[in-house]
Amino acid sequence: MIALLAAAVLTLASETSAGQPKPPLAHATVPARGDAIKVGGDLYALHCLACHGDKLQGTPQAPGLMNSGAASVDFQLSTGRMPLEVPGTEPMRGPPSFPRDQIDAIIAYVVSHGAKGPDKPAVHSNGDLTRGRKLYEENCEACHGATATGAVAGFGWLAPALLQSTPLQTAEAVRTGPGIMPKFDERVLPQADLDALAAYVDSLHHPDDRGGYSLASAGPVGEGLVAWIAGLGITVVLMFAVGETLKAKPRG
Amino acid sequence: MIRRLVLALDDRLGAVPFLRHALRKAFPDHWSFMLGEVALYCFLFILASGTYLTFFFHPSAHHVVYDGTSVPSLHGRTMSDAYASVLRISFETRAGLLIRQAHHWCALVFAAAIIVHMSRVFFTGAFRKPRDLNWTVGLTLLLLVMGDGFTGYSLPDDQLSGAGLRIADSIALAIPVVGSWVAYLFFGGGFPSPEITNRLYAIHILFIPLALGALIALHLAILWRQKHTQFPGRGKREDNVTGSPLWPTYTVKSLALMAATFGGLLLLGGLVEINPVWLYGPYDPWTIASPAQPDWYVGWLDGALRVAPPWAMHLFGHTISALLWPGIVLPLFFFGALYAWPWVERFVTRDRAYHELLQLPWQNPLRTSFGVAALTFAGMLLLAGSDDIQARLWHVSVQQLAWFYRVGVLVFPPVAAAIAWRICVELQSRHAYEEDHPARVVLKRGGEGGFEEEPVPTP
Amino acid sequence: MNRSEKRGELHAALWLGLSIAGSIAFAAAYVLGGSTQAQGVALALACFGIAGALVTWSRELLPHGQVVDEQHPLRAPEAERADAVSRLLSGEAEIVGRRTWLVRLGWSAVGFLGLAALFPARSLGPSPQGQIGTSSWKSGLRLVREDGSLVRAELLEVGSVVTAFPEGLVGPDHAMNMANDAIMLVRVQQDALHLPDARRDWAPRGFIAYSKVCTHAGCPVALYRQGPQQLMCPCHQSTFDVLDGGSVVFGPAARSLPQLPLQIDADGTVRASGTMSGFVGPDAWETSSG
Ligand code: FES
Repeated sequence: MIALLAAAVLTLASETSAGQPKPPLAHATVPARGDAIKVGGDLYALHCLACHGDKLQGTPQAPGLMNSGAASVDFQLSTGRMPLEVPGTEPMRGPPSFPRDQIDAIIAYVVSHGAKGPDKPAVHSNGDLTRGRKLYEENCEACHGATATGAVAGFGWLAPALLQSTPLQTAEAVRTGPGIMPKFDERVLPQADLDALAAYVDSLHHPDDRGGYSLASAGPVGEGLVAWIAGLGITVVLMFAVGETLKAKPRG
Repeated sequence: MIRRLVLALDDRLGAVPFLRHALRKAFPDHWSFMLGEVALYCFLFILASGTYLTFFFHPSAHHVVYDGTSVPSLHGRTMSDAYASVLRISFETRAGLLIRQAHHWCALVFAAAIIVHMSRVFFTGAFRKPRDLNWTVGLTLLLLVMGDGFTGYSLPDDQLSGAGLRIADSIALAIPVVGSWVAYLFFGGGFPSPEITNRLYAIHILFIPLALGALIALHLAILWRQKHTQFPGRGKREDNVTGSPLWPTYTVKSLALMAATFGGLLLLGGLVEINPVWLYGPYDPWTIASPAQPDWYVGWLDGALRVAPPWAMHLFGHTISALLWPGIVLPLFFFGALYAWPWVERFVTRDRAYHELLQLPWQNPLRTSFGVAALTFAGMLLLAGSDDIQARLWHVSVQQLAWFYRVGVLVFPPVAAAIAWRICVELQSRHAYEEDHPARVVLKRGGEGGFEEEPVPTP
Repeated sequence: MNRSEKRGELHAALWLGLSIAGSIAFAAAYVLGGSTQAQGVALALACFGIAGALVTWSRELLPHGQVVDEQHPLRAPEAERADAVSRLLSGEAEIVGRRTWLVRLGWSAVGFLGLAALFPARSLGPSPQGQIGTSSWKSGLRLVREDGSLVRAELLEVGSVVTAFPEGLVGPDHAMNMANDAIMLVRVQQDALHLPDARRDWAPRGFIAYSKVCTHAGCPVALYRQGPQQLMCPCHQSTFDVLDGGSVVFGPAARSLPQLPLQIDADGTVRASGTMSGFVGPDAWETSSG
């Protein structure tokens, strides 16, 4: 049991670092702005069309993109969630498959084909941390955890860790509600609140671990494990040092 | 100096006979006999570190506005005085965070040491008459430590402690008939009552530590009177105890253990962060972070709550809450069984004799399988209490994992018991075989110049 | 003094030196405001140094002789046991004698004293009568957010969620109200709802509100799964169906989440149009229906 939990904590510790690198897809060059839509269209046809349909209408495999604006497409592509290797699974963060200019090209293509969802949100860097924390505690930590290390969201879904999320990506997720996440538009969360939230999430990238090693922020579970292994371990070693062990019974 | 002190005490108390006896009292020095001492030294440490913390902690639900700069994201936030004082202990009191963390680590290690100590006592049959009495004292100590741990966990008024208290309040409400009165009187009203921090504080630093101190004294007095058990071996009999003399050998060993225990706790306190309440935030009762777990010694109860079936019953216009089964009935049965075990074993084996020599676990399959089943059961519940963290690690559905534990909690203990039984019986027959067919013989010079084979007598 | 003893002394001396160094380092770290890590390591070294020295002492410098204690039988000889018991009994007989009625009265007095001593316990808290499972929600109360701002219909689009409270009952002084009044207000596609007939108009325009207090053990049911339309409790993963009147989909909770009927004024103000559909929070003896 202890070994099991130890393995768990080790995995947890390594999990917070970056995911596996994905091989970059073919790099098309994007020469001029006017061609962006065309290049985006080519990329779309190659990587997205099979699931999202030729008119962004969606297929049984994947939802349509008619309600996905620039924010949504940018979030999905810049966090490496799309393109999805196995359709129907939960998209997970990873290195993006496309360079910045290609992502912009795909956005341009999708938007030019009538997708109307939130545009890329503005985020200002002067967000109020106290306000952001309050909002985070009310709206975010039930899924992503108090330290933004992620947690289960039920029935196999994960609320991802936010430790690599840039303020822009945080804002995009808040505005568009990817996956099973609810969305918070500017009526619920005005710009100042969005800035505050993004600033607070950003501050969680470097949590104040003045107490020492943070045990992957696994809370009391990790702490219990350490208490058993390290705390009791140290003393048991010493008990061996000063105590005797059972001498082999002299046999007849 | 020492001479004069001894003589002066003897003049007044007649202390010398006791002292003479005490100094050469035999302490068996098998390493596993020191587990209880680790627990004892944890008690000393937790008392000392806790006393230091009481100088700075404010057990008050009174609202303050945080104007410190140590936690920028809390600046200007309204919080309880209790939480604010924990922030001050952590960030503004020098060495405060070290002491606070070492104190918390000590609680975790304390409970673990008690459980390992009790396992040793259990599996070697050390609880048999006349020590059945001390077994019940020890078990009570474990319960008190868990209670003190939980009240301590609840004091800082952070997110986790608030969630834990809410669940405790719900369990109190689940008591049939009088539950709501119990909850209202204990918590001082509905949840979250502003009284609660203050009450928990009194319990945490006064009632339970006093009870712990008194029962530890009793535990040791009984031990002193009854003397230690010992593992069987050459020269070890039912009517003697062999070991190092208390003075000087055992004293030196035990002090070494004390210093090492303190060192270990301080090392953990300095290097490994524990309960970083500034990251969890002050408790707002309408918010919750995920995952939310209690400290490990309550984790099995949280696990029980997770895997328990939703069996609420409605009788004559009243409700028996589904929380009754995992929250109250199960702990009562579990600890009731542990309290009763020495007498159950006596009843089953009809063995009412005194026992000063220990058994090895394989020598008593019944006891060993029961112990293994109990540990497996508690272990499975403990694991179930972190099913959401496991689900995240292995990326499986937490709901499926909960089902796994629902089944596992019932299936694994009997399976583990059966395996333990089998192993014991196996070892027993092997030992019996070896005794019947001694592997080694001594050669004795016979009367007529020849040699005779003679088995080495087993002690 | 033989060589191994000399070695032992040297080792112990090194350990003790380490300990002193640790103590000095701790003092320095304290005075200079060193980090928790520096303080902890220094103080731990001070302890480990002493532990190491004592271990060396016990292993290398102390004799290893064993002593043997007699384990005398604990029980006294039979005659003494019988004597003790009979003294106890004869003393009791002297006290009681034929005055059994007086003894009974004495025990009753003690019992009454015990009962009387219980009375002050009543001061520990208010009566729970009529309090269990209640909330402040009443028909007509407007919904506000945690900061007191009004919830308006135009606030939420489908797939959004806010935590709401009854107007006037938010802020630090209302913590106890807020703990039990909190609701999750979500907006769903109205035609996706399949509420029981009696609740047909409880969710105008797809605005639907459930108590945020888990019916299992009272944690906030704060995890809204937007696609599958479920509310999940992070404490023990009880999961409730938003579209189906808050029924339990999974977990240890035995009762649906209470639903708050809503109405939307012409100007977009969202109000409660009744009280909670059931007991708020965990079950108790008193929560008999719903
Ligand atoms: S409190 Fe919600 S599931 Fe237990």
